[in-house]
Amino acid sequence: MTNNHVPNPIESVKELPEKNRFITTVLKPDWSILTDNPIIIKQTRVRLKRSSMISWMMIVGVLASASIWMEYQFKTKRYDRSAGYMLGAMIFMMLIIGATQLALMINTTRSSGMIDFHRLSPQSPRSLLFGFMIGGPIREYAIVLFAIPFLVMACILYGTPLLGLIQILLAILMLTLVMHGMTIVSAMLAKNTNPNAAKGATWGIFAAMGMLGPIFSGTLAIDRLAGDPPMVYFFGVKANALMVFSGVAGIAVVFFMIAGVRRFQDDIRPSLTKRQAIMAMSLSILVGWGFMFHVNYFNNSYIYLAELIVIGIWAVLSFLLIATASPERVAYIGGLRRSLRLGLRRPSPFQDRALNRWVLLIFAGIVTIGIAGLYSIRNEENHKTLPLPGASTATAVLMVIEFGLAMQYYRLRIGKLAGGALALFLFVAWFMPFMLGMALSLVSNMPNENEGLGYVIMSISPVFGVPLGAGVVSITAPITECRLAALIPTLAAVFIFNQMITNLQRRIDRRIMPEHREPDADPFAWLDNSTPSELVARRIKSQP
Amino acid sequence: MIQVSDLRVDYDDFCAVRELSINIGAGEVCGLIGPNGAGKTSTMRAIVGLLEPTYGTIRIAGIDAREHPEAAQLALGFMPDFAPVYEDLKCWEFLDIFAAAYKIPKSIRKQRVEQELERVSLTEKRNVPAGALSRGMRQRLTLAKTLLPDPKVLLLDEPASGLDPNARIELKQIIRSLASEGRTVLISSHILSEMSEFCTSVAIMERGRMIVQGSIAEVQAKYNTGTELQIRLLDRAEELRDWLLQREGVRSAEFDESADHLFVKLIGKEEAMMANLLADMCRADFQIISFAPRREGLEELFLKVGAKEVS
Repeated sequence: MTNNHVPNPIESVKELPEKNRFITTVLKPDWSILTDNPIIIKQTRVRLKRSSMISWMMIVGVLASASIWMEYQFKTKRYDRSAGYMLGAMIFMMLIIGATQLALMINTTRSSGMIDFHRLSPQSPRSLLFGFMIGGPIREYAIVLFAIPFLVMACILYGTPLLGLIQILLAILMLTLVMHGMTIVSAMLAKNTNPNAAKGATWGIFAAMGMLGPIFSGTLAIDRLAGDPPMVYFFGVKANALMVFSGVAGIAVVFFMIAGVRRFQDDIRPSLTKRQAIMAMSLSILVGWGFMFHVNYFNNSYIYLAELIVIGIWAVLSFLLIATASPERVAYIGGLRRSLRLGLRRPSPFQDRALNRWVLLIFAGIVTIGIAGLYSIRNEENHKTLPLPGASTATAVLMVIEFGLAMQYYRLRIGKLAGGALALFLFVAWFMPFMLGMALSLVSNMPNENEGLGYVIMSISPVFGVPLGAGVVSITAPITECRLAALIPTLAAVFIFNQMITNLQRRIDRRIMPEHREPDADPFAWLDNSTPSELVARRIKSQP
Repeated sequence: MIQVSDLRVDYDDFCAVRELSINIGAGEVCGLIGPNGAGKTSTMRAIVGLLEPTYGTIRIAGIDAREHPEAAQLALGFMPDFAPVYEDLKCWEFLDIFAAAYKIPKSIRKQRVEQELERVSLTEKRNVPAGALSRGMRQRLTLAKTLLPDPKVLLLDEPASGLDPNARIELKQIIRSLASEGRTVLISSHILSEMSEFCTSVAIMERGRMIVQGSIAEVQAKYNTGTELQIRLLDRAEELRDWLLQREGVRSAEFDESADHLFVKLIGKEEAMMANLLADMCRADFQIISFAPRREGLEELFLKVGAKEVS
């Protein structure tokens, strides 16, 4: 064994390459990931055993045939009901059971350590993603595929338009992919890889289904959309709502797939790069604008409420995306060490291991543009209704920054416990004022003298301060005070967290840097025993 | 075949591997040894690409493992200490899906699976669910999976942990046969006495640092300050002990009654000195049954090197 390999400091700090970039990840046609995918082969052998599939097919066949035949016998006016039943069952099977199976499979593979064996093979993360996405709920897909001929038969018998049916099936498929994509990313992010956790989630979903019963029963009538598809004015253009929904879901699926590929590559990598997070946020702004054109088209006097809902969705989405752009303490320190070896002070702002401050700034810009865009979409009629004032807009934007800085600070300061600390901070800063204000408003008898003060205290929480300051919740609230109560603490929190991050960064720098400081070179090293001609020759040789 | 330079692995504030460099040539069987927490597993996981190092260069068979992970993984086989299996698959099915993962053509897949099952003596168990196998058999099945792509480099992390003596002997035989096929093997284990039987070189780690690396003879030569002799006599063992202690060049002499051996430590390593000593003993009419320089095992070497470096 020899040890003559001289380490090259530049070579040793290279960033791990992205195995699968955006286009190649999702669109590169490599059919072997479908035809010869080890995960799909495994799942086919385990979950599509002939014995169990025959039983399933018999159950599906008998139920579907009975449904069609009964409708035909009763000759009710609503002949299309059997197609509705089948579509409802398909949605339940693919969305709920399929997602549960997927989560269960990922948790089992992660907790057993098998995922590492797959990562060690030349199987690409893209192949792993497709393997789990198709293989996880493969039995559910098989059952649904088996039921489709019965569905088509029902539609032909009762005159449901087939084109409409295809549009509904496409929308259901896209919704399924969104749900499954979300399941994959959350299962790959989960710290708890115990398969029982997925089973627990199943019971949770069943409980939720009980509460969402009316919504679920609504899916039984989904087939009626085939004959009379709803239309939306997306960006003012009249279009089939199912197709618009499929398109928007498709965008979401692409981002979930990118995140899934990154997580299958390794467990440390954030789900999205900072650039991808910015792109996702920008696209969500575009989609939000598109739907606001539809709301605006009907001159709805409650447009401001729709605007607030859209802003709320943007805020929640930005919180999720900021989480992917905020490195953990260990990642930041690792990035710092790499940069120092390269002779840089810090990683570049868009690297995974860089702090999230620049990204937050860009997010703030995007959200500001988004909100400004919402107002410009309003037509003459709707301009007369309540606008979201500048102070509330600023608070909404600052709220995003506050969340991002708080998350970054806690991740940098306490590492693994950051989630709990952030939740505690948000409870104190965003929820407690609401509770206090609410209590103050309700505790006195009517007429309530403290009602105004209650609203102001409630507004200290920006989540409630924004709508209260906009005057859309209560006309009795003192608007100006509410706006200030929302704006000032949020602004203060932004400054405080920013300063705390800077101080923490300095402390980490002081700890890390001495380790990497090279020993000072001997300034007189060149004055050895060499003759002047040797020194000149050496210098010439050292020139590049 | 394995070139690691300047490797650093951090977990939060804890540095598991610190600027580690190691170079293992083709056909070597290198034992990676160190106490618990020395950084052996982290080093192995970083080499195979399961752990992203803070920095460092890793080359497997000349391929940059971080630049071209898929190509490097084809040349690499890794078996972790606790080998997981898909419990609901039969043994051949388990190997078959990994044959697909390693992109072995379908036409020869079945043949490769049977070949590897035979190598690890699991042919009879080919139709048994992997979940029903004993721990030793699971280890062998995982080894068969590791050998599917016919890797030039094998990394085995505590392969014998938790195995019974029979399973250990079987595993040892398999590893020995792999080494004889000219594969480069990096193996970490706590059972140093067994490792010394097939390791050609050794790398000793302590607190994330590489303390020493080289062939066993090189490391022994570096850390041996003297030679130890093992002498067995027909009788007069205690008399010989006193006789030896009066001689120049003898540091110590002790008679171990239970082993029926006299252990003598010499100052220096010259073979001529040992030959002279033997001749003098014969001249002094001591009836010698055996006289041999005692070769230090990995265990003693590890204790010696570790203690020296830590102190």
